[in-house]
Amino acid sequence: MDSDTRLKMAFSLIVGGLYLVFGLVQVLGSFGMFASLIDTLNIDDNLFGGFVLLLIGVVYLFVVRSIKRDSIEGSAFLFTGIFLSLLYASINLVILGATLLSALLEGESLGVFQGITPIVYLGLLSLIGLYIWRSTFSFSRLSKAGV
Amino acid sequence: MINENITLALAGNPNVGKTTLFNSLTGARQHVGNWPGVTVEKKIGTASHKGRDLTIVDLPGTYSLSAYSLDEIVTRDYILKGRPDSVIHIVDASNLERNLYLTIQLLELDVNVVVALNMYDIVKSRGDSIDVDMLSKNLGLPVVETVASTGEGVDDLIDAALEAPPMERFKPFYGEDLEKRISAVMDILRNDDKVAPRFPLRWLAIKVLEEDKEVLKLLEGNELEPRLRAHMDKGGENTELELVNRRYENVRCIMSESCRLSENGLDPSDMLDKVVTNKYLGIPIFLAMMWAAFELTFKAAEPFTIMIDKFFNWLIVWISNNIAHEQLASLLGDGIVGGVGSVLVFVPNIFILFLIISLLEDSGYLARAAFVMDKVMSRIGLHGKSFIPLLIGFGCSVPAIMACRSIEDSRDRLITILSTPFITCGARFPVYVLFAGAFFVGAEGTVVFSMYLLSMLMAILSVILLSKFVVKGEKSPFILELPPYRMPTMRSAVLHMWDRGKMYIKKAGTIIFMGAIIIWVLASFPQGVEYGSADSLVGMMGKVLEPLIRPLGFDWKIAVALTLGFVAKEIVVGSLGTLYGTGENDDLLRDQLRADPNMTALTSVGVMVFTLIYVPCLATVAIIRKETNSIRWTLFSIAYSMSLAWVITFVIYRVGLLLGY
Repeated sequence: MDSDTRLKMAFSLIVGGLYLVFGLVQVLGSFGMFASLIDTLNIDDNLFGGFVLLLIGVVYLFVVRSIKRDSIEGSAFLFTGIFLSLLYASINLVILGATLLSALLEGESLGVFQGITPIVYLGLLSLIGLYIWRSTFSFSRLSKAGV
Repeated sequence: MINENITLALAGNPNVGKTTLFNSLTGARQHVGNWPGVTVEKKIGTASHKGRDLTIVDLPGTYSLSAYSLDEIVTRDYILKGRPDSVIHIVDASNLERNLYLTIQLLELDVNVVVALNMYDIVKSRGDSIDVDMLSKNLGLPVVETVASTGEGVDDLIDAALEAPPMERFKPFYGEDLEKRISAVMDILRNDDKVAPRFPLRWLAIKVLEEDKEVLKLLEGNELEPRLRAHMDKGGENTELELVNRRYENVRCIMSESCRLSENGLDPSDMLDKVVTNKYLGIPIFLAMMWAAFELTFKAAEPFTIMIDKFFNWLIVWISNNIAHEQLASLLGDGIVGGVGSVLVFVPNIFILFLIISLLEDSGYLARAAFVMDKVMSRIGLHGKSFIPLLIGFGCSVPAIMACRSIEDSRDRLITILSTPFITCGARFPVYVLFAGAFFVGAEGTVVFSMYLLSMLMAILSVILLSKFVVKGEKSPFILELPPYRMPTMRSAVLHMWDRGKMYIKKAGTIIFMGAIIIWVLASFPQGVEYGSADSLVGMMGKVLEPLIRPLGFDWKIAVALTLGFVAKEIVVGSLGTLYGTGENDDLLRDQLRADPNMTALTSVGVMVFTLIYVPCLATVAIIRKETNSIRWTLFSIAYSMSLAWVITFVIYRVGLLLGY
């Protein structure tokens, strides 16, 4: 196993594990459990959001499972894990922006940090992954959609 | 020689860029999607090239020119009977083998053909190469490299269609045995003076051997028919398969000299597909994408909704302060501004939803969604191709039902047409937003997402019911080409969003405007009654209807709103605004709904579910009539959806009461 494969495995294990833990806490939190932990870590209590975190975690963990027998398949899972993670982080940032704007229009006060939930800050870890494997995972090879 | 009135037909496999090229040539804005089967009817536009006027015809995409589906028949009939001056055959250069199969069939039609080698950028990015001159020489047709999305090569393509000198065409060879049979059938057909002179003889002979049902229909009752039958029977059922295999052999022969494929690893498109079509992860990823779409739709629209709401509030106050005539002020404020405003306030949600659908469609993800859902669909007796119209139904049921034309099997098509209205269209969305916001504060996005999930379950349930008890038959095989992922452009997504969303604004200015005036009249008269009260005309109408829906927990106000919603579902929210006396102010309407002792969280779920399932709007009923060509199926659709809506809402309400909600 070469060093790049080992790095991919370690990265996926750590990031995927974190997603799974946070996802599990969020799912259980939606049923009223771990109230203080949820408060401290700024975790949402949205059930479906928790499932999304679990899903991204599972995609990352598939890297560990598949990269041993087929490095291309492992890379595919890593690429998709990074992609999904960044996609959901971006969506949540857009929602955060809209929520702040709404609060401004209604004259309410809202802290920016309220919207920095696990799906956003775990996304930063995936950004590191994208940086490390930027030459492999590039969207510039996709053609543009027609009008 | 090309005449003065020049007609160019655009033909090709589905999703190769025909409509993109059509839009680029004509300046039209026909819908383009990154999945097969977007164009179901031929579209005609005009263009000008170097001072010459052109008529451009965009034909539905087909993989072959057989007669299995409506779109294949439309394309073939136009080329044969419309006799365009030239056919521009758009070929996906990144998937040449399958695309050239159609080229071989076009060669047999004896029409002028120019090949547009489209999406050449993908070939380059993969490191593949195509010797265009060699390909042109082998086919005996002009071949031009194009990238329709950027307009690259389009001028050269039209030049070739108008000016290219004739070349010696490739003649497909079908092997000794088949060639003998083709010649024999051609000899028989030469004696026919009715059908044969209208078609290229060799093509007609091949179609006879293929037992093409449209061609055989033409020859029915012909005195030559017994002799033709004898030749058809010689090959048994294998002739068609043999012809297909031979065509592919011809394609491979042409390609062997002109194409070189690189041996790179997976590209981003392949990498994403490995995961999003994975048998364990495909469906969870699809559900996660849909959930994100609705979260974004609901939450990102909020500031825009607030701004529109503030504007209408200001307008109503301005009207009441500046118009002295009490009844006129009420008509303008409570009736028109209230009615139309209560619908327009949802424009941001609708537009954001359509923007997301466009992005998913342009990227190619929706085709994957159809693929992963095939597993579910096949278990219930349909295939993934039926899922595409169902997905379009999230926007509007009318184009969704039209998209059913790409489904070859008539049974599958009918089942899909009858089940598509259960998919939540954009017009039902405001009803969910209103009730979710009133009774499920903080979980609105999740409630709305659940309604969309329920709508998919309802469509699936409907398919099961229809295929088991009403439209019985065997499931047909499913072939869906997964297009490569493409980077959606903001321009394309915004244009698609506008094309779909403008209908909603147009409705607000027409049907809803009229509806608002009618509701105001019904709510204001007889003279002297309290506006929208039980004593008004609308109240009386509601009281008559109330017994029908009382078992569902609904009162007369809901009865009126649902009845008027048959015209257009957007009217439901506007009617409630009038009946609760809150006009366009949806926050106030939510407060009133919460304060109404007849309305509970359980009843609100009932209203949302009933709105989801009950009779589709007038426009949808009309398109069901057109596409099924049957009054009987149209009436069945209305009765079926009403009965399902009543029964399911009844069960939800009664079970909810038993559980103490």
